[in-house]
Amino acid sequence: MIKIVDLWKSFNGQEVLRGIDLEIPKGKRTAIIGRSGGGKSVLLKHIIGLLKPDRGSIYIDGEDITRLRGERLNRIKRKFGVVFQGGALFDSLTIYDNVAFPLRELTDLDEEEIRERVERLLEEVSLSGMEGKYPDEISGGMRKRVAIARAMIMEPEILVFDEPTTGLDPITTKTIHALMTGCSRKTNCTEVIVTHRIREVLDIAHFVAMLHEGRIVEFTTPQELITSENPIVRGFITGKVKGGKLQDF
Amino acid sequence: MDLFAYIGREALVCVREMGRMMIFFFSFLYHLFRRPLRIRRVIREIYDIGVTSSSVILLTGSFTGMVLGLQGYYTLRKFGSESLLGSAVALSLIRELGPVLTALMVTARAGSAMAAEIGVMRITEQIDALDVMTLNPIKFLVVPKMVAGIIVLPLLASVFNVIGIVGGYLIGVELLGVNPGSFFHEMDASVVFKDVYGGLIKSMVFGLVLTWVCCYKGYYTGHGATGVSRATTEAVVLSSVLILAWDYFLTSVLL
Repeated sequence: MIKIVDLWKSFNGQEVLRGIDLEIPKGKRTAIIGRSGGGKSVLLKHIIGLLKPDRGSIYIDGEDITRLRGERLNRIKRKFGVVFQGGALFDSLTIYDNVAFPLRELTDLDEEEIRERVERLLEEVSLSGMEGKYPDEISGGMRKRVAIARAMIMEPEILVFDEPTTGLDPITTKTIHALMTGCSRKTNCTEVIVTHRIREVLDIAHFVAMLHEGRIVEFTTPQELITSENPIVRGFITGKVKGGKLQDF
Repeated sequence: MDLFAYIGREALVCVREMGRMMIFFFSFLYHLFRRPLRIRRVIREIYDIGVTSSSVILLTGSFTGMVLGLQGYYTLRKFGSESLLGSAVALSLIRELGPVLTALMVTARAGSAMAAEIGVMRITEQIDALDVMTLNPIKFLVVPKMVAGIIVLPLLASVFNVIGIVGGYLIGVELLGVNPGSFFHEMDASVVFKDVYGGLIKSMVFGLVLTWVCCYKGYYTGHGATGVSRATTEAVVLSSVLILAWDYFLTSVLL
């Protein structure tokens, strides 16, 4: 389980996270939603250990990662598989080498075993036959699928997705969703999704946390979210603005 | 008052930048001696820096030697000392021009590419991806490049020197008629081991300086394509200035 307690972060005097309290249940798919620029990706970078908070704690399976350094922090980080917003594929490596990269760098597997695992995973994400292509030779949706394959190759306990379907067409979005649900069904991993797409939340999330002005204002199920009376949530869902601000703020 | 405030602000920015560069350097030193050594990545970087820069080194080396042969001949002829041409060409190249021009050429060719590569990796979250995979980006990206720079610069400078001497020989001996025996005899008599290892030490230091600056600028690049292009330009300018400054200090020490 991921537990975030009173998390604060500011950049150049501007507070981005203002006392986040959140518990992300184990083995479930939790979406973090909120307006663009509202601090969702900053929160995500704290969860995966890329940023240190000004104050507060993040517990991963009971260990506060904000206090850990070096190998002890790395041990926790290895529990994560991360799909970055733009994929973050290594552009000098082929699709095959991108997916094989964590295995080559972090394990002692021989090349035959690596090939077997990479080919199996590329088949799962429907990218067989694309092994020799480079990231800039394939479409955005394919890049996302490669990024998912790379994140899954180490069989992580926690999968993190930053805007997994932003900018993708509906069919590719469905494919990505199917991959995400299939993955968690198979490995029972915990999934955290940062998104601003309500449709995505309703389609695949078990729980949803709404981030607004640096705080979690609602944590509920997607079904309860759409009937929520919280004016901030209502304003976000309906997308109505009044005087440049979301309605009823 | 505005002027003082401006100077003070700029001085603080400068001090902060230097502090960050030193932390980056100590981080390199820390990771340099930690396992795994990643020898394959070092060899690949040696290949990348060496091969991409070799053609430009051959060209600049040969033309530099030819110019030295030409200028040296007409200067020495005024004193009736054309026979010293071999010595003049070799000493100029081995002590000064070889290490400095090689470093400047590698900065322009491979250093700029290094800064741009790391910069693009930064803005496309590839460095974050390495970090999440528990592969320290300094250890994985920067250390191999800096080690390769230290190894490859003396090799390239040696190539530059040899090609330069050949260029000087062609102009001095084949074109202008200097006696080949005296060309090589004077060279042999005047160049001592201290000149050679002094030049190699300079090259190693320049290799360290240029890779340090270029990696640092790429690592802390600004946002977007503009940020990367600015980081690349700054990397080349700062490396070139530091190479010339360090050349002065090293020459003072090694003379």
